Amino acid sequence: MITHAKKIDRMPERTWSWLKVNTADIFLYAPEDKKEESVLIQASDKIEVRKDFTGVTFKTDPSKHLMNEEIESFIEQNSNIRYYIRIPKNHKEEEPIRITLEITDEYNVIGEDIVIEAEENSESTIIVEYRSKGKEEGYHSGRTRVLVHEKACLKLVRAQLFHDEVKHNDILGAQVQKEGKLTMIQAEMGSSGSTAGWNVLLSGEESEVNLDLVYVGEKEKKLDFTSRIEYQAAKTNGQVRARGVLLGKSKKILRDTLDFVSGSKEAKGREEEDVLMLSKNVRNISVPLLFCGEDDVQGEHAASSGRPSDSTLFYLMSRGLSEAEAKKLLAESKFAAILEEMKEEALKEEILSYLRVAIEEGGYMSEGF
Amino acid sequence: MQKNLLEIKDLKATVEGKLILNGVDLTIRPGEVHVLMGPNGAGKSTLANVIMGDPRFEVEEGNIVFEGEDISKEKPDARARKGIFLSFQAPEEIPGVTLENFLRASRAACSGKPVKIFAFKDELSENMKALGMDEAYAKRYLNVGFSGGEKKKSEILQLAMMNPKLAILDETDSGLDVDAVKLISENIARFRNENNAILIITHITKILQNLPIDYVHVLADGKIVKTGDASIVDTIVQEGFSSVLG
Ligand SMILES: Nc1ncnc2c1ncn2[C@@H]1O[C@H](COP(=O)(O)OP(=O)(O)OP(=O)(O)O)[C@@H](O)[C@H]1O
Ligand SMILES: [Mg+2]
Repeated sequence: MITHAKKIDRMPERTWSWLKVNTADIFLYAPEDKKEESVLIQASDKIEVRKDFTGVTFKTDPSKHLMNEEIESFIEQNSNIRYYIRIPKNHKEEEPIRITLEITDEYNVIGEDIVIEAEENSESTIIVEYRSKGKEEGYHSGRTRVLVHEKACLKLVRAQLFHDEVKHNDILGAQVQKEGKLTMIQAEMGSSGSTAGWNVLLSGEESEVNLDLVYVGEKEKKLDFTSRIEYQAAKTNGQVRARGVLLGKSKKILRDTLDFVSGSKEAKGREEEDVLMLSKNVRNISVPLLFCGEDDVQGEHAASSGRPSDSTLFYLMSRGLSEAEAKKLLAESKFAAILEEMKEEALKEEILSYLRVAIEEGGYMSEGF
Repeated sequence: MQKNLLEIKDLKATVEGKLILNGVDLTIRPGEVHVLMGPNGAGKSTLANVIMGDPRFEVEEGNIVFEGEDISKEKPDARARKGIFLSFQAPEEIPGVTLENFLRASRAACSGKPVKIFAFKDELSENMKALGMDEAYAKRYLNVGFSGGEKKKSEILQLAMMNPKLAILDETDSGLDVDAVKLISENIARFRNENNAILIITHITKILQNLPIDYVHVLADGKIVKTGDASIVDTIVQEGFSSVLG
């Protein structure tokens, strides 16, 4: 295994340096071999799935914003899971396309490189599950690039459910064309530490993106998130919602940028964050940023964070719930608005179970009831 | 003589160092209906909350005995599981938790067993009907955006679902329209039996119509200054508190 210490977020703005939140140190591990037994893809035969990227071109590669050339070439040379998935023009894929990646004790390094192309006027849902078996250390680094063409509608659900010994680095870049729509729910539930970033270019008029993030931080876990939407065209609409629960001594940072560049007349953007802190020892850093290169735009930002109030806990406990149960319910409620939009009940339950276990394991602070 | 359900002796409680309850004595036996009245700020809600175990209040002296057991040091959830219920004067709003899920979590916590979904749903729908509540409210977030009256109905729904031994109703009737008061009062009467007891805190009296009242207490300055039968209620309503406090 080769180890490289790298910076994943090449932030475009110098604003960061004084905050010391500009970059995330990450380690990249090269897989020893290129076995592929740990990936499973389920899709109908209308969907093109192949292992090479020949003919796939990006006018602007949206993932570049999140990394430097070194990381890029590292991914290109070392990925052991490489897929190109295409949803053809005018096709409506009824069932979700499922991609499941699994880290095992034997197969503990995954370098993933995926391209998804949703062609004009297509409609589909893709569920990507990141799982692990066993309990040895593991490493996942992934790059996903998404192209949503005119009037296409793509829903992406990405659930990171690794066990505690897996490190996870993830980059997603997406470009949405005219009247296209991308919806993404990302759940960062497991792993010893996650670094995840996405960059979405709303390139076509009236293109739209809805990005939802849920996460739980426990023990000494470090969570490092970067979200960026670039509004390039008129009447584009892009929203980010993040909901998290922090326990133990976990640390989280979210850099959330809405960038209205010239040409984004009448664009609308919103970033919204809500964090429930269940311990005094957590660190919660948020860096919302809004850049306006056009006057006629609407950008909103809303954030709230804090511990549950005594009166709320008292109310819940007066109905027989223990303090831990009350906190579990409050924590789950943070996720509710986002998970509500997920149809996959089993996966939803599994996501919530990570939260419940984290609270049961006592990473929460007693309020002295 | 029957055993006491609740026995409070010389209870003194403070909030942020300020004495609010200054030696309350109160005994409630199974089957009884008690009414607690008193001027604004007398400490009625404080007493109710202290019985439930609100951590904001400090019990300085005295104790609270429920079914022969001192519960003054128990947590609110333990008290709830023993059978004490408080209908809050100002119920909390909890976004993200639906009324139904909350009731189910509460049922599971109180019974210590998984909840049988179908039976539970039937029971819920029956109780909602009895309260004239639209069943869509079960799917709404707990008390969020509920009107004042709807919040009180949601409290009585919780009472019906939890079926406690002692129900403390803190101004459940305030802010209700005439029909709602009638419905709630009927539901309370439906809940009542010879094994449970009710402590009703109120400023108005309509809610008492369907109920046989055993005792009326008047709380002033953190103490119960008078106890009598149902007739005191009328005296207070007609002549004010001074008539009984004097
Ligand atoms: N958290 C608190 N902090 C400070 N003072 C408090 C607190 N809670 C109650 N008090 C005070 O304790 C006193 C009793 O309040 P309580 O709510 O028990 O009155 P009440 O008899 O229920 O009145 P009402 O009829 O208006 O509901 C009041 O003076 C109130 O201001
Ligand atoms: Mg009161």
